[in-house]
Amino acid sequence: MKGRALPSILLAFGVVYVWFAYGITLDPWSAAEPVNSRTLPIAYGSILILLSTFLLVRGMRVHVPRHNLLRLTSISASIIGFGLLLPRVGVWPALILLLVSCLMIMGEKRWHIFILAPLLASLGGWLLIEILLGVYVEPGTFWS
Amino acid sequence: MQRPQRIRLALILLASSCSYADRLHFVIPAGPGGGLDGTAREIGRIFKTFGQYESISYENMPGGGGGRALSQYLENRSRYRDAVLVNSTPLIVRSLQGLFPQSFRDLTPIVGLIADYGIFVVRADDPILTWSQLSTTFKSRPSTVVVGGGSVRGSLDHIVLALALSSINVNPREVRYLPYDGGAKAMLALLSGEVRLLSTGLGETMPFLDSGQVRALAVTAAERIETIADVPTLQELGHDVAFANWRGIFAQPQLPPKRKIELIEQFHELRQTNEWNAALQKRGWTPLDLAGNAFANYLLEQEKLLRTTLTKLGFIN
Amino acid sequence: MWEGISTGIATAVDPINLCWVVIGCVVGTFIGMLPGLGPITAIALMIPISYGLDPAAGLIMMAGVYYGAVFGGSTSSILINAPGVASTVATSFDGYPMARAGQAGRALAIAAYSSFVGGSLGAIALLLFASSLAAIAIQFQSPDYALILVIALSSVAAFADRGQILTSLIAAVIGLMLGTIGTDPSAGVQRFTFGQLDLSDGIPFILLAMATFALAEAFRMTTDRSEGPIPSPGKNSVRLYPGDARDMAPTVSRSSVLGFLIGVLPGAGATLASFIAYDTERRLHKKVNRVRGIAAPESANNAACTGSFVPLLTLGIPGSGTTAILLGVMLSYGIQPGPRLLETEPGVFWGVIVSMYIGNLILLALNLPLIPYISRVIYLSRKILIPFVIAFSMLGVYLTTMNPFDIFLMLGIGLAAFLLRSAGFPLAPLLLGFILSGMLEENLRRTLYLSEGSLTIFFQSPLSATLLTVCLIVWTIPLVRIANDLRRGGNPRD
Repeated sequence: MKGRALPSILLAFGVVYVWFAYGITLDPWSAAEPVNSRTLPIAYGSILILLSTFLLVRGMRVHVPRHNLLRLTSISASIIGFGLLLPRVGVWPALILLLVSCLMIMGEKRWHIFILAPLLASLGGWLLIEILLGVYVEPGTFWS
Repeated sequence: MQRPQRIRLALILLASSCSYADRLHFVIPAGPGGGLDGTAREIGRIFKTFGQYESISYENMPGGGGGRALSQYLENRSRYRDAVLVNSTPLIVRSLQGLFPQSFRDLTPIVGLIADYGIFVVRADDPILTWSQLSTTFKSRPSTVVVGGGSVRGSLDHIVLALALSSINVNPREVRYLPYDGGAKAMLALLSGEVRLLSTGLGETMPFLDSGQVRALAVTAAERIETIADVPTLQELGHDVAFANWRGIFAQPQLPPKRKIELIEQFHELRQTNEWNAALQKRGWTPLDLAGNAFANYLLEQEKLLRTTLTKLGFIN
Repeated sequence: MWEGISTGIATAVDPINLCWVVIGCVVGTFIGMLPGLGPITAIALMIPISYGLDPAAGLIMMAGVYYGAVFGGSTSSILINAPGVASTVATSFDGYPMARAGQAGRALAIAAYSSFVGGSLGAIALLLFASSLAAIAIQFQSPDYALILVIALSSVAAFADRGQILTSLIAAVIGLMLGTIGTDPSAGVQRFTFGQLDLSDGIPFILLAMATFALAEAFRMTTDRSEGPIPSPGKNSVRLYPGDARDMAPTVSRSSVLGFLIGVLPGAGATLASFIAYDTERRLHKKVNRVRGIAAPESANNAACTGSFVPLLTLGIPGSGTTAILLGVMLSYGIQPGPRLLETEPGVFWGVIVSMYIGNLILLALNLPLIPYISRVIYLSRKILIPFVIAFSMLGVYLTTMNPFDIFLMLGIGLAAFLLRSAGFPLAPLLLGFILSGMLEENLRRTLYLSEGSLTIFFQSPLSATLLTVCLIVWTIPLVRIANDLRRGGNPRD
């Protein structure tokens, strides 16, 4: 099977990147610069366009295992959830939820593992980072 | 070590019943280890020694050229009600350049504590001996002297250079400025001979002046500085320029007047301590004595100056 | 000088100072093992403690924290493919596969021994050549740096197996492109940030490394059911295999020298050193040898870390963020590093250097016994390991940047990296391109601004001319390979 999807995406990325590279604002001093803020981005983008065109013509073999994309999607969703909760409840509670949901998605059934392990990990992290090392971590808007 | 943050609910109840904070929280718009971080931690350490506050915490919030810390600080007012923000001159520069929409006007200026001055240095073996020799060269062939600096074009080192050049009637846009990633690398470029002149901060240059590797031609302070008494100021050379990169403390915009007075008073006491003066000396910081409205006016003045310079350089219209 | 060394030994073996070097090393190596907390954080955290000490003890401790963190940083790279420190990214290339093959203990032991030798040789080199090397470091100008970076870029070829050169090149270019995101290093204009303040400092390296390595690997393991369990370890899994020492010896000595020299150059640093050392070994030996693949970057990054003390101590110029903080610590003691440090503070100067040798011994003694316990992590079942790897890498990034936005950025990059990996793209060149991007552009632009666009500046000095020659030589091989690859056509994965 000759995959063309990925090379096409790369090509599109290159084109969009070069398009934006032409839109970079130049400061007044750039006029005197042989290599200004746009030069290298345009060069890199053009190389990518060239190479991905070559790959597109030649085709490449891609094998993404399809059977477990559901699991990948659920994990991505829990990461998004983590990112959304983080500023609200703080990193440690959010970390517990992330771990619990990932453990469940991965099929961990023993409740003492998927409840206790995240709790202990979070507690340990908090003790180590905030108490022992004295790093200040935002507590989250929910608590204030 | 700081107090556990988890017991916050209890603390909130307590805090609302007490008068003003017995804990001080610093928001630092930079990563750990830099000048701003050092300033906050020195202040905190001394406050704690003298018992002004029971607990002090520091929150490093790098990113967005200081813009992220500023917007977080202003957006989560309830959480940062009692917190103070440490900042420095780039706050004005970046807000003028439009990197972030907020400015110092959105904050309550408390005190300006430390000043760093711009300084122009050459290598010790350079034939240029005085500022006037340098300005003659600049006037006749402005593009021959390549000037290095520790930050990108349009930021402090470049601005200070532009200020000095304008004062000797040289168009700053004709002079070649080479930016380096930090003052240390710029200093290395001077030592390696890649650039002829360095526009940089006094604090960072001090050790090199002491060791005799470089020589200073002029400084942007208004009066001569004790530690480098032989270096003339631009003003005494007949140019109407004085510029300081301040470091100071800000609080929330709706700060109760009582709290503002209390904070200013506490910083006033800080200035009197031997510990603070020892810290200044050790770190090579020059003290700046501005508080409250005086500080606010100083900021307005500086903003005006910076706006003119940045316009001259072509960075803003 | 011998007099100085004896002063140094006297300072370093002072019981109090010995105590502090142990504390520094222990703290450093543990913080180094934690996700996202690299040497910079470790040192910054210890600043308050250093205030109370006298200068020699304080600096000995802080230096211990620094090289201790670099020493410990390899652990998470090897075990879960999550490089918490930039300089240990290259260690994961061969370390992680070795650990997956059931030899985690062996991989960690190789890393520990190599780190030890790299660090110790570095300390000896520092002792002997510090002042003379400083004079050389001062010779390097922007064109020379630009050439070194182009030389380093040629190592993308080292990461490509047969037929992978095109994909490897594409990955490197993507890395270079990602490196341009953020504030332009010369003009200060925003590039590809779309008005997002969160992007204006660029993508943090730790984020990119965690996303493309740890996260993409975790994603692969979640989708791939075919992979069997990891073979369980032998009894003495910490031991090196017979022949490992023989394999390591030449590699470690070469890489230590190389690492130290690169470390001396301000700005280049341990990360670049580890990549270049890895590349050199790949070029010298046709066959992939994982032992050398771990030994090279680990000895190089530790040697480079020691090497970075050369410009710091003798010129007063910090070459990296970490040494900049150390400079701050020295200044706060009223010690001014620079050419006169040797005269003004001989005890501190020599004491710190000698203590590094002791510190490396301590680190070895500290790390080896821990390996059997730490390496058990890898034998956890995937059901448990994957959630923890994900959480670990997210936490590491968040604790470094404290920005929730980075979680989403990391997820996006992780998914894209997973896709690229599935298609057979090697991701190491992407990281290499990213590391080099900013420095390369900055130096290239300065060079050509100085020369007003003329390329003759690259052979103006003997140093540049030499580097240019090296550059041409190292690029010939990959270029020939690219040409072959393109000519052959057909499927790139054959």
